[in-house]
Amino acid sequence: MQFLSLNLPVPIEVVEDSAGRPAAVAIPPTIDNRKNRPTRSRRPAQQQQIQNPKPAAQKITVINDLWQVNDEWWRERPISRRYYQITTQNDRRLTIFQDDLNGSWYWQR
Amino acid sequence: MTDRLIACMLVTHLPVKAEVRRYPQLRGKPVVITESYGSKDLVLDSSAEVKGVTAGMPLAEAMARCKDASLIQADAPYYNNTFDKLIKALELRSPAVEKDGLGCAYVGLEGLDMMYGGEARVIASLLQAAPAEFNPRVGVAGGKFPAYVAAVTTQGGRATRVPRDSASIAAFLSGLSIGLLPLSWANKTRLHRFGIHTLDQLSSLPEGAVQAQLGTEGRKAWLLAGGVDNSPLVPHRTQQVVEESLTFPSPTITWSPILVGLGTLLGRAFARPEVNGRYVRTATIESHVYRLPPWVKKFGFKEALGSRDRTLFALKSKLDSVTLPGPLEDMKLTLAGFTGESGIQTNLFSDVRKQEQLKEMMRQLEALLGGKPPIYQMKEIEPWSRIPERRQALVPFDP
Repeated sequence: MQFLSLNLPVPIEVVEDSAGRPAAVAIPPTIDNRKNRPTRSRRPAQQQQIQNPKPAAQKITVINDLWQVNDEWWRERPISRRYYQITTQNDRRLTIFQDDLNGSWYWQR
Repeated sequence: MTDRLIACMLVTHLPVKAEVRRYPQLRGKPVVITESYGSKDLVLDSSAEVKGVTAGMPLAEAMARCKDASLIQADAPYYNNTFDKLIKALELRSPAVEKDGLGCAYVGLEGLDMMYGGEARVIASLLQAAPAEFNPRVGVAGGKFPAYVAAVTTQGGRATRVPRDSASIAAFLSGLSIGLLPLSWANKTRLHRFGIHTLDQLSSLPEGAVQAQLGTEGRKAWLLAGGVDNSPLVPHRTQQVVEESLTFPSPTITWSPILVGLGTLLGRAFARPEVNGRYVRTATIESHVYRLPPWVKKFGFKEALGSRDRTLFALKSKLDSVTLPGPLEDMKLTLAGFTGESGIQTNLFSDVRKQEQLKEMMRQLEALLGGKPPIYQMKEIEPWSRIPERRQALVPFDP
């Protein structure tokens, strides 16, 4: 029996300002994360990625909120994330975070 | 060192031997049996008279090597039926018989020597399970792969036994071709290009290097090349089926004679004493198609059906969306999934009824797919978690 996690964070590209805060973000255009879904397509993942256009970067107009989550510090892989609730120039409100351990940015759905 | 004793019963080139048994005029002639995978035509099997052609080879390449070979479209239902008869004969000799690929079966031998009065008599009995023209071979070892290799390397109608200590197994496998490994055609070709032609050459490489090149398939092959095969013997489960068949006076493509024939077959099947008072969950229709490969269609029913008329009605509605590949020459009906359930008593409470409907739906899907259906249900796992992806998960649906 296998459990499948829901709402897994999606890796995204973020342009940071001089203070290390997000200034622009490139988010996939659809709400669903098709990469994590089971698919019937037999094409290799690389080919599929080539056909998907790279999402355009959207400027962040305002950071509505930010908070820090530090958890599971007693485990081998602790969690340390800085969350930002942002609004982009096309009026999308998103929650993104930066993983403090590897510096990567993710979209939290 | 292992205490297991497994025999591999091998009938090489079973499709060709089955075709020769059906059409004796093919004996001694070059024959290539082909099967289609989408737009690709591949070689399923070839007779000994065809040189340089192996199973899995593209047909174009095979024809370039043997231009005068007779081409036959694979008749998978016939080959499976022939092999099933062989499995049934083996099951009369041992309770643990595993069906592997076409023509290959593994038989558990533990305790049988006491019954037959010695291992040699057990093996002789296994060799007699197949018709003489199939020329079966038997290999006996502590694991399935060494037993298979022993069967492959022995002569037709004979048996080879591999000692069970690891040094003897390694010595036995040394020098044999990697073609014996359960690897894809592409991976075998790749190994040959690396200059790795024998099992001992492969097993002398570091495990990680083989796995890095060929993935999990490569790791398994590496273990097998070293004579390590701890995979368990999974006995074949016999499913009760009822079969009825008819031959049309002339190949037919119109639905009305086909439905009349289907009604007749259902009538005969439901009149059989083993079906009397019982209900069926699946029906399979197999037909030989004029100048085309055989046609097989399996139908699962929403609820178990217990009469000819209800089953015919259900099949008619399902056949509405089916396109026939060509004129049918005959028709074989197989009923399976028998149940003693005589009806469904609905519950007074609607939520319980819904639950019963869901259970019934899952049973239908299981019967159709032959395993647990990939249906999931969202469950709260740690709803209090500050990590959003920990809060909910999809778990296999079990109503």
